[in-house]
Amino acid sequence: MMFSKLPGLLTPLVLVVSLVVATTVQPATAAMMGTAEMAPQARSEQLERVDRFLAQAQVRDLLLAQGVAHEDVQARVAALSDAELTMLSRQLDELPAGAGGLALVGAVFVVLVVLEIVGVINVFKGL
Amino acid sequence: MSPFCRTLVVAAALLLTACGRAPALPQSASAEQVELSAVPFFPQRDYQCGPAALATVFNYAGLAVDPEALIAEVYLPGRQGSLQVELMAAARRRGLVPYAVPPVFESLLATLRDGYPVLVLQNLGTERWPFWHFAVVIGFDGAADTIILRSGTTLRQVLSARKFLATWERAGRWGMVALAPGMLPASVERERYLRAATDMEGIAPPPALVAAFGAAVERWPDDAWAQVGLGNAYYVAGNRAAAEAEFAALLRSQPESVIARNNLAQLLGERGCRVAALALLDEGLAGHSIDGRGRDRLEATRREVAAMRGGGEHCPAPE
Repeated sequence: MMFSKLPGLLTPLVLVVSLVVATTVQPATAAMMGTAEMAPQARSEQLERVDRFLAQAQVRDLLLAQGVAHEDVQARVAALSDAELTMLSRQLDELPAGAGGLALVGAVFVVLVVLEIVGVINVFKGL
Repeated sequence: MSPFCRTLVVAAALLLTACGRAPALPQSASAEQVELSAVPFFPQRDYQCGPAALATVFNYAGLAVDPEALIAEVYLPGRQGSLQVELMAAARRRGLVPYAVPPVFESLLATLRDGYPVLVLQNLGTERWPFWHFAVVIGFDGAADTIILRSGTTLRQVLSARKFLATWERAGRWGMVALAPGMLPASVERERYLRAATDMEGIAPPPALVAAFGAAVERWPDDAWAQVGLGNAYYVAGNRAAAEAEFAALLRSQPESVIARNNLAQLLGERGCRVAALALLDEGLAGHSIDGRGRDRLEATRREVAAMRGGGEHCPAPE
């Protein structure tokens, strides 16, 4: 009975603990100002520490949903800039993902062949 | 005559415009030939052109890495592809500067002239049916009006410049260079480069940050942004004396710089030079050239420095 409540409690608990950790690490560098302050429009693009944490959590969930392995996701999210995190959390699904394989058949194939011949597209060279 | 012209019977109207066109490469490149033959080649497997293209530019930058090792960093199984920002992030993690080339054909060519291959995104399909693909441009031939790439499973793909340009434009003219730290192409744009280096802060290994900003200070000696970057890079690399020297130099030329004053005071405080640190902060707070937000920062640092132990009057020489 007690255990059934655990997952529900665990999520906010982890969030709180993580937030505390995120805001208290590196006390020696707390007063050093980062180089990002020098960038034009720095204030609008830069995320506060808590916001960055939340944006990271959001993008982490999106990447996991796209099949990224649990052991890789944290390092991948940590390597993204504030602007990239903001962009991904808003529109990951609409962004181009370079692939380069060919998985098209039937009618689409014919359309592509025609477009290729008239020089509009370039699917069939060098793949 | 290009091969498209042979299809005149099929699509006469379209071809009238296709064949009568001037070369796609600009006039300035008409007699020029550039090919970075030393760029390695990693044929892609399945849908993984992202890891393959990335390994191509990483290895050229002197970082020995296999495409397989990059899959876990950039491949999105759900999309069967890779995102541009994740390619940049992968470079960042390894201490390479992911410099996004200005979205202009001339800039792409200039980067190749400087000796750097460019990882590009292409849309090989149409607007409606996009077909995203990453490849690496390694050169161009002005006389033939062609672009040369390492692409997919093709070691040396030669595309008509017009066709390449169409695929590149449909993909938003995106291209990136992975710069070994300290390397700076002659054609590099200051703000784009500094942004790329700044985004590496807290992610790239500190020595790479020092090299990346060191090159920027060398190229633009009076640039405050580059100097702050180098100071902070020295700080995270553990070279406090060099960091102090960098912020002190900046403060001498720009006494109104909040960041130079703040970071220098913090460094002085951390090495027990509390009195000098407080004096520096008070001097800034007494003036009128610093706005409210800057004052808040200096006051916060002042509280922190005042609470530090040790120091006092004695001010040891930098380590």
